[in-house]
Amino acid sequence: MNLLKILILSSLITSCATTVPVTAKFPDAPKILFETCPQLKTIDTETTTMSILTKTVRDNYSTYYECSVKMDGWIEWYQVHKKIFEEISK
Amino acid sequence: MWILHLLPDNFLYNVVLTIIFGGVFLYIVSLVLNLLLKVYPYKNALRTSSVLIILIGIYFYGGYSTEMIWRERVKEVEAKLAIAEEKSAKVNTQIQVKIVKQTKTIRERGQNVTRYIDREVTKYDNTCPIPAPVVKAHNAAATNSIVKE
Repeated sequence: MNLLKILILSSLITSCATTVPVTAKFPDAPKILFETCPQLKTIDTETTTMSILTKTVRDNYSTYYECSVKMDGWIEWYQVHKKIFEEISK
Repeated sequence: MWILHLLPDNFLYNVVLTIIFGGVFLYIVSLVLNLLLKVYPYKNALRTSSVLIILIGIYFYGGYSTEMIWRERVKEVEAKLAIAEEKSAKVNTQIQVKIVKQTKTIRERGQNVTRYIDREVTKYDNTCPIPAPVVKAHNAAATNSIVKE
Protein backbone atom coordinates (compact mmCIF):
# COMPACT_ATOMS: atom_id res chain seq x y z
CA MET A 1 0.00 0.00 0.00
CA ASN A 2 2.86 2.35 0.83
CA LEU A 3 4.29 1.77 -2.60
CA LEU A 4 0.90 2.49 -4.18
CA LYS A 5 0.60 5.78 -2.28
CA ILE A 6 4.07 6.80 -3.32
CA LEU A 7 3.37 5.90 -6.92
CA ILE A 8 0.17 7.95 -6.98
CA LEU A 9 1.89 10.91 -5.38
CA SER A 10 4.85 10.62 -7.71
CA SER A 11 2.58 11.06 -10.71
CA LEU A 12 2.19 14.65 -9.54
CA ILE A 13 5.86 15.38 -9.97
CA THR A 14 6.22 14.21 -13.56
CA SER A 15 8.67 16.37 -15.45
CA CYS A 16 8.04 18.70 -18.34
CA ALA A 17 9.97 18.83 -21.57
CA THR A 18 11.00 22.00 -23.32
CA THR A 19 8.94 23.13 -26.28
CA VAL A 20 10.16 22.53 -29.80
CA PRO A 21 10.09 25.71 -31.89
CA VAL A 22 8.61 25.48 -35.39
CA THR A 23 9.81 28.20 -37.71
CA ALA A 24 7.45 29.40 -40.39
CA LYS A 25 8.84 31.27 -43.39
CA PHE A 26 7.13 34.58 -44.18
CA PRO A 27 5.09 33.99 -47.34
CA ASP A 28 6.38 35.42 -50.61
CA ALA A 29 4.20 37.71 -52.69
CA PRO A 30 4.09 37.56 -56.50
CA LYS A 31 7.01 39.45 -58.08
CA ILE A 32 4.65 41.55 -60.20
CA LEU A 33 3.31 43.20 -57.03
CA PHE A 34 6.76 44.61 -56.24
CA GLU A 35 6.89 46.68 -59.41
CA THR A 36 6.58 50.31 -58.43
CA CYS A 37 4.08 52.59 -60.11
CA PRO A 38 5.65 54.88 -62.74
CA GLN A 39 5.47 58.66 -62.62
CA LEU A 40 2.58 60.20 -64.54
CA LYS A 41 3.45 61.77 -67.86
CA THR A 42 3.61 65.53 -68.35
CA ILE A 43 3.14 67.57 -71.51
CA ASP A 44 5.67 69.74 -73.25
CA THR A 45 4.21 73.28 -73.03
CA GLU A 46 5.64 74.41 -76.35
CA THR A 47 4.33 71.69 -78.67
CA THR A 48 0.96 70.91 -77.23
CA THR A 49 -1.96 70.01 -79.39
CA MET A 50 -5.36 68.61 -78.48
CA SER A 51 -4.35 65.07 -79.51
CA ILE A 52 -1.11 65.15 -77.49
CA LEU A 53 -3.00 66.38 -74.45
CA THR A 54 -5.64 63.65 -74.78
CA LYS A 55 -3.03 60.96 -75.37
CA THR A 56 -1.10 62.03 -72.30
CA VAL A 57 -4.27 61.98 -70.24
CA ARG A 58 -5.07 58.53 -71.64
CA ASP A 59 -1.57 57.28 -70.75
CA ASN A 60 -1.92 58.62 -67.23
CA TYR A 61 -5.32 57.00 -66.77
CA SER A 62 -3.89 53.71 -67.99
CA THR A 63 -1.03 54.08 -65.53
CA TYR A 64 -3.56 54.63 -62.76
CA TYR A 65 -5.54 51.52 -63.73
CA GLU A 66 -2.40 49.38 -63.95
CA CYS A 67 -1.36 50.57 -60.50
CA SER A 68 -4.85 50.02 -59.20
CA VAL A 69 -4.74 46.40 -60.36
CA LYS A 70 -1.49 45.87 -58.44
CA MET A 71 -2.98 47.52 -55.36
CA ASP A 72 -6.00 45.22 -55.59
CA GLY A 73 -3.55 42.34 -55.95
CA TRP A 74 -1.88 43.31 -52.67
CA ILE A 75 -5.25 43.51 -50.91
CA GLU A 76 -6.25 40.10 -52.24
CA TRP A 77 -2.85 38.64 -51.33
CA TYR A 78 -3.14 39.96 -47.77
CA GLN A 79 -6.71 38.75 -47.27
CA VAL A 80 -6.02 35.26 -48.60
CA HIS A 81 -2.80 34.89 -46.61
CA LYS A 82 -4.49 36.14 -43.46
CA LYS A 83 -7.09 33.41 -43.92
CA ILE A 84 -4.37 30.80 -44.51
CA PHE A 85 -2.51 31.95 -41.38
CA GLU A 86 -5.69 31.79 -39.31
CA GLU A 87 -6.30 28.23 -40.50
CA ILE A 88 -2.84 27.23 -39.22
CA SER A 89 -3.49 28.82 -35.82
CA LYS A 90 -6.74 26.86 -35.33
CA MET B 1 15.83 18.28 -21.82
CA TRP B 2 16.94 19.38 -25.32
CA ILE B 3 18.85 16.13 -25.69
CA LEU B 4 15.51 14.30 -25.68
CA HIS B 5 14.77 15.80 -29.10
CA LEU B 6 17.74 13.96 -30.55
CA LEU B 7 16.72 10.53 -29.27
CA PRO B 8 14.25 8.30 -31.13
CA ASP B 9 10.78 7.74 -29.59
CA ASN B 10 11.19 3.99 -29.07
CA PHE B 11 14.54 4.33 -27.39
CA LEU B 12 13.16 6.86 -24.89
CA TYR B 13 10.11 4.71 -24.21
CA ASN B 14 12.22 1.60 -23.61
CA VAL B 15 14.59 3.44 -21.26
CA VAL B 16 11.68 4.80 -19.21
CA LEU B 17 9.97 1.39 -18.99
CA THR B 18 13.25 -0.30 -18.06
CA ILE B 19 13.74 2.14 -15.18
CA ILE B 20 10.16 1.69 -13.89
CA PHE B 21 10.09 -2.10 -14.21
CA GLY B 22 13.63 -2.32 -12.86
CA GLY B 23 12.42 -0.49 -9.75
CA VAL B 24 9.33 -2.73 -9.46
CA PHE B 25 11.49 -5.82 -9.89
CA LEU B 26 13.88 -4.66 -7.18
CA TYR B 27 10.93 -3.94 -4.88
CA ILE B 28 9.54 -7.47 -5.44
CA VAL B 29 13.01 -8.92 -4.85
CA SER B 30 13.19 -7.02 -1.57
CA LEU B 31 9.77 -8.43 -0.53
CA VAL B 32 10.77 -11.99 -1.48
CA LEU B 33 14.07 -11.69 0.34
CA ASN B 34 12.22 -10.33 3.35
CA LEU B 35 9.93 -13.41 3.36
CA LEU B 36 12.70 -15.94 2.80
CA LEU B 37 15.31 -14.47 5.08
CA LYS B 38 13.99 -13.34 8.41
CA VAL B 39 17.13 -11.43 9.23
CA TYR B 40 17.99 -9.54 6.11
CA PRO B 41 20.45 -6.66 6.68
CA TYR B 42 19.89 -4.68 3.44
CA LYS B 43 16.09 -4.89 3.53
CA ASN B 44 15.44 -1.16 3.99
CA ALA B 45 18.21 -0.03 1.69
CA LEU B 46 16.96 -2.24 -1.15
CA ARG B 47 13.34 -1.24 -0.65
CA THR B 48 14.18 2.51 -0.49
CA SER B 49 16.37 2.38 -3.55
CA SER B 50 13.72 0.43 -5.49
CA VAL B 51 11.08 3.03 -4.62
CA LEU B 52 13.52 5.79 -5.63
CA ILE B 53 14.14 4.07 -8.96
CA ILE B 54 10.38 3.78 -9.55
CA LEU B 55 10.01 7.51 -8.71
CA ILE B 56 12.74 8.42 -11.15
CA GLY B 57 11.10 6.20 -13.75
CA ILE B 58 7.73 7.89 -13.27
CA TYR B 59 9.39 11.30 -13.46
CA PHE B 60 10.98 10.33 -16.76
CA TYR B 61 7.70 8.88 -17.96
CA GLY B 62 6.10 12.28 -17.41
CA GLY B 63 8.89 13.91 -19.34
CA TYR B 64 8.54 11.32 -22.08
CA SER B 65 4.77 11.84 -22.35
CA THR B 66 5.15 15.61 -22.57
CA GLU B 67 7.90 15.20 -25.12
CA MET B 68 5.69 12.95 -27.23
CA ILE B 69 2.79 15.40 -27.04
CA TRP B 70 5.08 18.19 -28.25
CA ARG B 71 6.51 16.06 -31.02
CA GLU B 72 2.98 15.29 -32.16
CA ARG B 73 2.07 18.98 -32.11
CA VAL B 74 5.19 19.87 -34.04
CA LYS B 75 4.26 17.29 -36.67
CA GLU B 76 0.74 18.74 -36.87
CA VAL B 77 2.00 22.31 -37.24
CA GLU B 78 4.61 21.27 -39.81
CA ALA B 79 1.92 19.51 -41.83
CA LYS B 80 -0.31 22.58 -41.62
CA LEU B 81 2.60 24.79 -42.68
CA ALA B 82 3.30 22.60 -45.68
CA ILE B 83 -0.35 22.87 -46.75
CA ALA B 84 -0.28 26.63 -46.14
CA GLU B 85 2.87 27.04 -48.26
CA GLU B 86 1.25 25.04 -51.03
CA LYS B 87 -1.91 27.19 -50.86
CA SER B 88 0.20 30.36 -50.77
CA ALA B 89 2.10 29.37 -53.92
CA LYS B 90 -1.18 28.56 -55.67
CA VAL B 91 -2.73 31.90 -54.65
CA ASN B 92 0.39 33.78 -55.78
CA THR B 93 0.16 32.20 -59.21
CA GLN B 94 -3.55 33.04 -59.43
CA ILE B 95 -2.90 36.69 -58.45
CA GLN B 96 0.01 36.97 -60.88
CA VAL B 97 -2.08 35.57 -63.75
CA LYS B 98 -5.00 37.85 -62.84
CA ILE B 99 -2.79 40.97 -62.81
CA VAL B 100 -1.13 40.11 -66.11
CA LYS B 101 -4.53 39.51 -67.71
CA GLN B 102 -6.04 42.75 -66.32
CA THR B 103 -2.98 44.78 -67.33
CA LYS B 104 -3.24 43.37 -70.85
CA THR B 105 -6.92 44.40 -71.00
CA ILE B 106 -6.09 47.91 -69.73
CA ARG B 107 -3.40 48.32 -72.42
CA GLU B 108 -5.67 47.01 -75.15
CA ARG B 109 -8.41 49.45 -74.15
CA GLY B 110 -5.82 52.22 -74.01
CA GLN B 111 -4.73 51.38 -77.56
CA ASN B 112 -8.34 51.53 -78.62
CA VAL B 113 -8.61 55.04 -77.17
CA THR B 114 -5.35 56.02 -78.86
CA ARG B 115 -6.70 54.88 -82.22
CA TYR B 116 -9.81 56.95 -81.60
CA ILE B 117 -7.67 59.98 -80.72
CA ASP B 118 -5.60 59.54 -83.86
CA ARG B 119 -8.74 59.28 -85.92
CA GLU B 120 -11.02 61.88 -84.35
CA VAL B 121 -9.18 64.22 -82.00
CA THR B 122 -6.35 65.03 -84.38
CA LYS B 123 -8.92 66.84 -86.51
CA TYR B 124 -9.03 69.56 -83.89
CA ASP B 125 -5.28 69.94 -83.45
CA ASN B 126 -5.11 73.03 -85.65
CA THR B 127 -8.47 74.54 -84.82
CA CYS B 128 -8.35 74.12 -81.08
CA PRO B 129 -5.07 75.28 -79.55
CA ILE B 130 -4.37 74.33 -75.97
CA PRO B 131 -3.76 77.33 -73.74
CA ALA B 132 -0.54 77.21 -71.68
CA PRO B 133 -2.39 77.36 -68.31
CA VAL B 134 -4.21 74.11 -69.21
CA VAL B 135 -0.89 72.35 -69.79
CA LYS B 136 0.54 73.91 -66.64
CA ALA B 137 -2.40 72.70 -64.55
CA HIS B 138 -2.19 69.24 -66.11
CA ASN B 139 1.56 68.93 -65.48
CA ALA B 140 1.23 70.15 -61.91
CA ALA B 141 -1.51 67.62 -61.27
CA ALA B 142 0.48 64.82 -62.93
CA THR B 143 3.59 65.51 -60.86
CA ASN B 144 1.61 66.32 -57.72
CA SER B 145 3.26 69.71 -57.45
CA ILE B 146 2.12 73.29 -56.87
CA VAL B 147 1.26 75.37 -59.94
CA LYS B 148 3.94 78.05 -60.37
CA GLU B 149 2.32 81.27 -61.52
